[in-house]
Amino acid sequence: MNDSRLDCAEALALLQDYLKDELTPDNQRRVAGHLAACGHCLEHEHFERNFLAAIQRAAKGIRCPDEVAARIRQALRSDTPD
Amino acid sequence: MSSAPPAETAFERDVLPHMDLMYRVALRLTGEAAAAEDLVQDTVLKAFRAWDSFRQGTNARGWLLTILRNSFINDYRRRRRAPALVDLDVAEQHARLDDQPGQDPEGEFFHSLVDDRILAAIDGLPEEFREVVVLSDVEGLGYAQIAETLGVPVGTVKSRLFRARKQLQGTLLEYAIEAGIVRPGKDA
Ligand SMILES: [Zn+2]
Repeated sequence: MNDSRLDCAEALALLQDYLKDELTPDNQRRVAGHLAACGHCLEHEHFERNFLAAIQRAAKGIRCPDEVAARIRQALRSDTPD
Repeated sequence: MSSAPPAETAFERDVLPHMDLMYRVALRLTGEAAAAEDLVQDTVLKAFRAWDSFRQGTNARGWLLTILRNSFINDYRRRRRAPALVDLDVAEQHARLDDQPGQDPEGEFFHSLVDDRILAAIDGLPEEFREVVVLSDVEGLGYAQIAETLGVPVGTVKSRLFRARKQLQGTLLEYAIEAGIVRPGKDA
């Protein structure tokens, strides 16, 4: 929108959207600019990133068991019309 | 037994690659492997029967997640417990725990938490929070896609995600304190 600097409250209010890359390019840059210059907000960013990494690590590696996938394929085949 | 494997259909090509995703979401929604397996199977079979209504070329992921979630709400949730309603007071209380970074300057405590603890903390969230965390933070869906899947406005997704993360962080911080990974700091 404009070039104005963000203060800490504004930067932190945008942090969630920033981390999801959901801001306009302008605002992504403004938040990045603030984080580069502000250790306090950078600490918040690291905290959130560490949190998200932990969630991913814990939950993302889970896979549908092979025998379940096989059972579903089987069910599909027998469900096929005609 | 059979001579040649049957040719892969368009349905199999577009839907089956999402099986792991469906299973992960189903597992977090139902909280148990057997129910998750049934939910994924139901979802795939419902998708198969509704395949004509799927717009080819669009992303099957969102379409499948919507079917999965509707199945969960209609057929699974009822069997289990009463739907967990968001306890606003508890959510607010956790949301005020916003000086957490100061208690872990090195950012180490999430790293030290074992996966089972993290999964248990996710599973302990109220359903409305759990589903946004899973779709956003585990599966990486954007706000718009989550809003479409859940049938709520984007603003609702954002605020639920914010509160969900605060609550989850509060729970994980409690685990970390119990485990002696971090010391309770500050006057909360
Ligand atoms: Zn700042």
